[in-house]
Amino acid sequence: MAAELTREWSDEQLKSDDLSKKDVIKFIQDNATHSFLAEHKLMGNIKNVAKTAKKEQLIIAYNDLFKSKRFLGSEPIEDVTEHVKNVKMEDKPKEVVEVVDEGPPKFFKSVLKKGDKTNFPKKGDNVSCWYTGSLEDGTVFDTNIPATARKKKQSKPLSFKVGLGRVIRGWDEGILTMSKGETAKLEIEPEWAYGKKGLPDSKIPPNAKLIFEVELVAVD
Amino acid sequence: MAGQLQDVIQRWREAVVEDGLRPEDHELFQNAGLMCINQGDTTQLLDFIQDEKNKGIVESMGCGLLASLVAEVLKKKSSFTCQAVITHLAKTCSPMELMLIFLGQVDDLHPDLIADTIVLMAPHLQTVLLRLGEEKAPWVGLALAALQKQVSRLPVPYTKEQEVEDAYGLCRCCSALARFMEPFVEEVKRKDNSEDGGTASDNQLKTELLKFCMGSLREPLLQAQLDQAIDIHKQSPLWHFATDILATLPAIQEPLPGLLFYKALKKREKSDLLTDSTEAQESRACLAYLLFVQLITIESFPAVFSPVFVLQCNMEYIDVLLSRKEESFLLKGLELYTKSLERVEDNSLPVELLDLKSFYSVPQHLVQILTVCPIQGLRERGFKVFQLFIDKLGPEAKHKFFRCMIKTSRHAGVEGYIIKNIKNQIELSLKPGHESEWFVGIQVLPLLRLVLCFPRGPETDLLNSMDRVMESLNLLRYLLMRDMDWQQTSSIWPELCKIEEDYLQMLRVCLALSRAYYTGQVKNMREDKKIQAQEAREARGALVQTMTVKNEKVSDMTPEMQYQVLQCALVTFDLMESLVIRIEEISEEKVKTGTAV
Repeated sequence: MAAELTREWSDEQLKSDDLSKKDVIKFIQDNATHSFLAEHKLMGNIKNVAKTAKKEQLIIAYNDLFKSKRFLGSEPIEDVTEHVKNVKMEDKPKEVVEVVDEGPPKFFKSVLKKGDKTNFPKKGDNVSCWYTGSLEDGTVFDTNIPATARKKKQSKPLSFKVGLGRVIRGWDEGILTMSKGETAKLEIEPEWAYGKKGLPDSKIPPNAKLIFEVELVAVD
Repeated sequence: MAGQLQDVIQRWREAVVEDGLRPEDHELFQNAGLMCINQGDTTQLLDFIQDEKNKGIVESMGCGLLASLVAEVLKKKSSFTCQAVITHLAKTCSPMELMLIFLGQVDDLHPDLIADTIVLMAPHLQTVLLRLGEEKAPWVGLALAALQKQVSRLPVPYTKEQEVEDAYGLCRCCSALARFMEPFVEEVKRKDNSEDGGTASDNQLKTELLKFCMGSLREPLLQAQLDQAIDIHKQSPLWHFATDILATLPAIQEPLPGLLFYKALKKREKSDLLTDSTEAQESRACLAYLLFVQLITIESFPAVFSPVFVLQCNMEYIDVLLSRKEESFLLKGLELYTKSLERVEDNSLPVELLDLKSFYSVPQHLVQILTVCPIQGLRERGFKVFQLFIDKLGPEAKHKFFRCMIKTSRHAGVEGYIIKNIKNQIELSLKPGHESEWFVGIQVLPLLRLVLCFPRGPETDLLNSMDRVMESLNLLRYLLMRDMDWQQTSSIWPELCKIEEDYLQMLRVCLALSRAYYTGQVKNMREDKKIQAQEAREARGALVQTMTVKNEKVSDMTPEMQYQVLQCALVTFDLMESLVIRIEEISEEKVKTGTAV
């Protein structure tokens, strides 16, 4: 690529009708950087550009090009690849689902009873837990712990695969920090629980912060 | 006669002890019993049966009377003595024998007798089963299967009035079945509480109960009208039955999340109801409906699952329900769909969900409902759910969904609706705070190209595609008028202009062709009309003409209607043309005033 091009046309020549808009456009498209073309709205099909651009504008652009010397090859590579990335939408690699929600974790854990500190669940593991869920005002909206100890012996704790978005985010994230045998109190902000909608059928109002006492019984 | 009978009875009493009853004795006993029944002497029969001295006879030969007794009770419901005889026999005779006879009694019933027979037999079956002790599990299974089979033959009430009337007895049967189940469920619960791990027999009992619950969910509950809104006081026997079933499942250690969310294989003896068969899916679909829409036992359901996960699981059931044509199924499917979507935040569903099969087929079923279902109420509901679904999709998912719908649709109305949504999405995306790269910028071009085109080229029937074309023109006009925002996203504008140009060019060709064709048709009609005016008067409007439009036969219409349609077509083309002109005006304005670049 030539680092510097010579001006082929004088101002007079540019203004004359002998030189068509398309010729000027072609020249600029062939020789200017992508970003230059983008800024001056000279990208795309020559015919279309010719339709929408006026001769005066093209003359200005032409002069601009030589003033700024933004010739093809003079711009860093990143600009070009950025442009290519935008165009090739269909080839974009499939991204992982995780809702990008950067910021501080929206739950707080306090350990009530320590676990074995060795068996921590990983994403996709099957975990079992006893839990009691209450609202900030203390109302218990859900629990799987039966009333008597004898019944508890015969009931089964709740089982599910952790870390896969099957439960509310506060649980997914919170339980991953627990070890087998641990009992913890998880205070979960609504964004990581049931959010603006709440879960009225289960007595959870909108924008409710939830407090769970969870005992991690087993890790698969 | 009485004296002779006494001798015989005495002989029987002795024979029993020596185990010497012969077939003739059986026959004689039966005939005697039958005579009593027919003559109405059932009191005498009852006394005989209840007499301690005759215990042996009854145990050995009593069963033979059952068929006649049952028939008698079914004929005359006020035959209390007969019922008492049956009750006594159920407690006395050999359980195995009784089971076989009773099961025979509930097999292949005459439709008119189903309800009465079941209501009569269920308690007695229960009595016998409870006498079987540890052996009962397979027999319970057989009994439940037999009862359910007959119940499934009964028509399901469709309206509240029908339910109250209960002409075919389904409600009575369901109440009887609920009562029938009770002791066995209690037994399972007791066993769970007292020992660790059940015996094989206990497990089998659980399995049989599970089979029955799942079967009942499918027939009759899936077809029943169980709307909470209609049945405010919840007195309906079918509602009670549904509640019983949903309470039974966790009681027999089949918690609902496991049934609904995980198609896990069970350790116990697998019944075919735990597989992925359509029937199993239908049972679970009913379960999902009862739980999430009618909120039966929702208070015991864990409130920890993420709404998107619940939607994902329910989609399979919605798919099953919406693939049927019966109104009761479709209604349930639409309600479950609505309920599941309502729990999710707007604009949040990830695009990966659309890769799941159910997320493809459900919208396709919906489109079917919207376009061909004859029931208006369902179409209206379907419409609401369709838009609700679109609203819940995240931006990338919306983009993909719109592309998919345009590509797979064969109905201009649906396409038009999607295009309207696209316009709304673009409009929204241009507002501050709602920017989305999927509807502004380079990503939107493939979508626009897909929308703003004529797949059939110049041969497009504009009348047929009217909805789509009008919405496309609206979209185009909107895009051109909002150009100032486009300038921020470079390289869109020239492409957009190209798309617009090609589209309008093709549209002009189509308009010319369509207009020529329809004008010709109108002229023909006018000429034919003059000739046929007389005939039409004579035939009193019964004459129907077949009309061919683009090589396809249009449905039979009266000539007047056909004429109107053609006129309407021409007006539509005028409308389209004026829109095209307007759009070109806007386009030129932009170029002239320099706001377009």
